[in-house]
Amino acid sequence: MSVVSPGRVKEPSEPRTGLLDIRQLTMRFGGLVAIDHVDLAVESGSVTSLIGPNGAGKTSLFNAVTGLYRASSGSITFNGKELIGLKPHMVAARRIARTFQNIRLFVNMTALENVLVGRHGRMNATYLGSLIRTPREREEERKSVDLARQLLDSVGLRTRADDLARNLPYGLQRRLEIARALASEPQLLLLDEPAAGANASEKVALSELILRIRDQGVTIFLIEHDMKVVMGISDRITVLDYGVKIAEGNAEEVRRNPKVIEAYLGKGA
Amino acid sequence: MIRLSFMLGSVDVTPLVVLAAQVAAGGVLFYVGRLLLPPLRTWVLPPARATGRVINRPLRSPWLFLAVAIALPLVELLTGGYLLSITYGVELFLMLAIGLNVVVGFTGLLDLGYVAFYAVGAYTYALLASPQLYDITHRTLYFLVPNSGAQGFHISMWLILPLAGIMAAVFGVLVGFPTLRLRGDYLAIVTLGFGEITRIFANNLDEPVNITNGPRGVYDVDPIWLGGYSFGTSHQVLGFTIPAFLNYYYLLLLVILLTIFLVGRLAASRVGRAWAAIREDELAAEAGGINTRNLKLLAYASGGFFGGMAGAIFAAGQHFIDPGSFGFFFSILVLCMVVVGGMGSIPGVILGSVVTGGLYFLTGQFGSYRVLIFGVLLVVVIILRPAGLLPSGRRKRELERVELEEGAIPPLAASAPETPGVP
Repeated sequence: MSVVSPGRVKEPSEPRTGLLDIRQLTMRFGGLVAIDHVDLAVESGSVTSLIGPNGAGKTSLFNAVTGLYRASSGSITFNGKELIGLKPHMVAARRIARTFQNIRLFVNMTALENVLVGRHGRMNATYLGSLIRTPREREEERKSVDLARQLLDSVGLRTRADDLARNLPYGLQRRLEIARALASEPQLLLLDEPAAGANASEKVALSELILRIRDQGVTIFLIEHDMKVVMGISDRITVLDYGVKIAEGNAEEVRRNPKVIEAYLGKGA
Repeated sequence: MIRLSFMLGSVDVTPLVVLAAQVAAGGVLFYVGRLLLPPLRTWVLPPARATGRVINRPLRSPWLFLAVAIALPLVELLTGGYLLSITYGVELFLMLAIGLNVVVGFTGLLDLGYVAFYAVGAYTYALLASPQLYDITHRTLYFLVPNSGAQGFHISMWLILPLAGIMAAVFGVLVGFPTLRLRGDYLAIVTLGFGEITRIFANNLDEPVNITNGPRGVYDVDPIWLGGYSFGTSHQVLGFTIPAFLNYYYLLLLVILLTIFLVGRLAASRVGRAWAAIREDELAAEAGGINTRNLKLLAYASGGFFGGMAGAIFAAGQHFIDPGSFGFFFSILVLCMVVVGGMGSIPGVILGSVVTGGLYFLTGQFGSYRVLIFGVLLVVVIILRPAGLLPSGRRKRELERVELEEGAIPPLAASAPETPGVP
């Protein structure tokens, strides 16, 4: 997959066609409208961020994309194909991977096993193949373990491969979750607040990691509260407030947008 | 007999008194246990920390298991038949526990109705290898092929054994399907229901068409034959009488070894990892690209298959089955073995089956006190070895690490870890 140059083009209101295209997405939970007719495009090769105050509907949007929630109306297309209605594992098969806001690792499995599980969809070993342990199955297993170790290496978990996920420090757990997501060789990686709970130097390292992943051709869709991280690495930022898109643009535009300032700091700020 | 007299007559309250005594005894045991456990724990554990490894290692060795499994009945042969029959019974439990472990230990689906698979396998074998279906086959097939089915079905065991497993696997999928969305307690209740439904079906399926012969059970079930060698009769070998169930014992041992081998492979494969992921966090597994529906059904089917095989061998060995053999307590017992041994750990499940199964048979004479003894056993195991007697490497590491790293609050004050808090 080729690395497309990050789209820093300014054309906010035009319907653009991105890798991921969200059109008029609405999510209702009973009377609550969590996401209200949101349009959003994530361009291939970019780092696109989604920000907004707590409860703005950011994670709901991620859940709608990954099939954990079913959107009430609107469309979500990926590479031109509709995602709404697909089960989460089918979305994953379309090469979309994600991490979770509250880390969801397989805590009683080792770091290596976690990454191998992430590789599940890219492996072909069948039930019977595993029983008979066909040469093909063995080869695939060996390759997967190699690849998983490389991934662990790349996120800085080389020496912790055989540690249980639950015994890793918090920062490494976040990184392990990213490695697990990368194991499925995603085209699009959704990161839900990866910098939460990280200290300043960890945040810098995380930003670098995200850019490195982007440079390997993985498009990044990011939810993040830390503005330093968001402003530093995003090609494009969308701001949600109470489920409504209130602003969109590059870092500078968003920073200056009065609506954004109001949403974050309140009226009269 | 203790009787209470009322104006209208007297009532025998012996069962009530016995029940009260049981409850009281249970309470006393519990408190005595709690008093005794801290010293017991310090006595067992600090050395157990060291000896734990020494003890565990040989226990984990497959060769030891194999040697004991082969030699045990031969030794018992010299001492008489009673222990031998217990050994065979424990072995049946072991097969079931290994199957249930796939569902409960690997995939984390709490199944309280596992006996259903055992029943399905047993009935599949019994119906296809006995005169039971004589009426039906006689009436339906007679006109097509004269004399076929005149004696009911008597199909070769080479066909029925796998068929019994497959039937139970299919049943597993059927049971699994409606329960896919359920977790934890709810799943437990529904599977419990399915277990009971199966037994009640077997109990009532003598009307309108007599399929299972209802509570009277299926009798004259064919033994297993191998060439000219019937497993169902005793044989004279070198002056020793080899009783019938010794044949089944070794047959089952072979089946168990094969099962352990296969299950071990599964656990270390893509499928096994996916099962573990579902156990750990179903949502994250699904989001990670695992088709949780199919894999859960696969777990039910696998567990069912092994349970069905056990049932078929049970039916063949007994020559007779009735719904009474497939009660709820049976499911609990097998679950007990998995939990006591260590969920997800095959060596653990083996040890758990031997300990729990052995205890089950040896406490037979205590009648209803048996359940009490089980309760105490479970409590003791959970306090002393929360992850089971021989936890899976994974669980064990986890517990050790938790204690070392966090200097975790020890469950009982007297047993603060001797090791200084290593980070």
